[in-house]
Amino acid sequence: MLLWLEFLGVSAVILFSGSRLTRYGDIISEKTGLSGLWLGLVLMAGVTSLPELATGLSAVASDLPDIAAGNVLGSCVFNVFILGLLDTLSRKVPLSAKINQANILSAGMSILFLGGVTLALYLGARLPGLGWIGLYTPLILIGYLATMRMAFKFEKRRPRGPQAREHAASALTLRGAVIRYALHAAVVVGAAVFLPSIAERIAAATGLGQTFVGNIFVAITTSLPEFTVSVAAMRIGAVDMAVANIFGSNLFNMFILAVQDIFYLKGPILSRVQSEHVVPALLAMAMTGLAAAGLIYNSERKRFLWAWDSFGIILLFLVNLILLYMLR
Amino acid sequence: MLLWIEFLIVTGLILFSGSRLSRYGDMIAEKTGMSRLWLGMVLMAAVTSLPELATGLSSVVLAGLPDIAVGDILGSCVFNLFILSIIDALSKKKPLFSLAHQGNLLTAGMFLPLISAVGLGLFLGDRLPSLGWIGLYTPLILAGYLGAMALAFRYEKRGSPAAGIHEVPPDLYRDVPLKKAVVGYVFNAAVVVGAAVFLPRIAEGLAEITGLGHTFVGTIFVALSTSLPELTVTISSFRLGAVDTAVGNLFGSNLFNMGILALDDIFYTKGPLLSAVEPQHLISVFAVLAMTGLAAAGLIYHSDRKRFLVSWESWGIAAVFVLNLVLLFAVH
Repeated sequence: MLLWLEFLGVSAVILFSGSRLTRYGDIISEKTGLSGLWLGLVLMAGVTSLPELATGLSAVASDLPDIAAGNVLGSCVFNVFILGLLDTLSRKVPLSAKINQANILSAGMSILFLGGVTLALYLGARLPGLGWIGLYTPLILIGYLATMRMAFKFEKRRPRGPQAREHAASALTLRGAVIRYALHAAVVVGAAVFLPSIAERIAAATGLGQTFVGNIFVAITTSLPEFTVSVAAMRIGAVDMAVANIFGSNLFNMFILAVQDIFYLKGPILSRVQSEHVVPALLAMAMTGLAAAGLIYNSERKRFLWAWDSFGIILLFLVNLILLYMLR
Repeated sequence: MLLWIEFLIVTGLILFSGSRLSRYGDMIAEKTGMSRLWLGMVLMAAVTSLPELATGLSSVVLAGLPDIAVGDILGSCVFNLFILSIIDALSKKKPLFSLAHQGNLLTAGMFLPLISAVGLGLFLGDRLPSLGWIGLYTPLILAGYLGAMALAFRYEKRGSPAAGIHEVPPDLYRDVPLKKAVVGYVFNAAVVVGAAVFLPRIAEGLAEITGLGHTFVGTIFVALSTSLPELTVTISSFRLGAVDTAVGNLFGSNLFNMGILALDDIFYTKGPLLSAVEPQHLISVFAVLAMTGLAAAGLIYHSDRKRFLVSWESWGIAAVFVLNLVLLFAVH
């Protein structure tokens, strides 16, 4: 019981400070004049993924690789699930803003990386490693940087329309925003550090296992900031930013996985985890594919939309939950 | 030696008649006034995938070789995506991905859940409940395939310039009577089916004498052989300037391959097909996923430049293709 209270406490802190963090991050990038895509894709995704990063590193340091990997992969699944929820949410309101198909760039690249991750999970120790680092880790790091550069070039080549963004708090000075940003970042990191050990005890107490707890409980907690930020972005009409944040987060998750592998000194991380992680990775790719098809299909016209894509995404999320429970 | 000659003869027949088949299919479509989307995505993809269908059914029904059936389908998906890089190399000035319409992503996107379902079926094997001798994934894949077709049809009707409606001149085969086209079509279809029926047995023999195993031979040799019609049709569409028909055919073919896999499972009565095969097929599934993701990113990015022959996305796709080959060889 106490364990669950601890879990809820940490989740609440991450939810609160994580959402604040992105607000101040938003203000900082506005005041320093960073462009819309970099806001959504790099900065915002990086910021909303701070809990994932802190949790992942703490899990690796406490020798809980299944929680680290589950956190990253479960977060990818949950992020696309958020997209399904947003899509359903947006159906009620006629949307004037068009979702930019450019988001498929990061979606496609995240599928490429996830494909590599599943391959490494399946091959495990049969794949040669570079010392304690998996062969995939440098590839993911290089690929991540290349994708960021591509996204930047892409953005420069075809500028977007004006973004509907307003800031109630933009009266804040840059200095004030930076201080608040640092404060909330510290709180998020502080809370996230405790998460893996709580998760380990929950896994033991419930008998659900670290893979399940990592993929579901830890991943949902660390993805709460993405959820609130995406919903908030939607509310102010910045649909593009919401979607960019989700796919950008998934891309950043791959980067986190690579960083975790570097800090996990016992061997290549994907050879040390249960092979069941293949399930969430496959479902994340399936959901991303469905979302991409939805983005293409939606693009031309918005009315008469049956929410087939969001319905499918939500269904696949449940399939993931059921399969992970079955394999626990 | 004799086996290799047999393999070459069957491959030659499939290549020759398979390419003819799609030309006659094209004629029939034109004369009966079917839209070009159904040409690229449904009819053409189905026609160029006829060898896969015949080989698959003959593998599971006549020969009892599930690994060759599944290998053929997955290897064919890998090969179809590799063809994208090949036509990118043929594209003179601009990279292929900047010429193709983004509507092609609809099929690519819908393909991903289906291939993921195959991956889950392979990974979970017997841990997944089944419906008699049919895997749980089979009705889902069939429903997904039909759903994707319905979506593509609506998308097309809405007037999206996908799949090259405006690309090919409408009266390409004015001098050919419909009857002649139908006769030519039926004849070549019979040749393709006849040749493909022998393929699994030959492949089994090859797997034995080379020691490469059913999975490798199915995924590489059989798949290469059954994908040759896709290669010729795609190249000729591309030469005609019908870029979207070419790209649509490849993604449509992959979608159709998923339908074939479901059919193979239904006709394989010994149990769920994906529980009966080696788990190594997962490697191809992951490669296909990665390549499709890369192709999707490329279709959006529209690089305006090529680096050494092809654009970056084609280099990536070719690299994954080679990686798949190496890994399948390493685990054989």
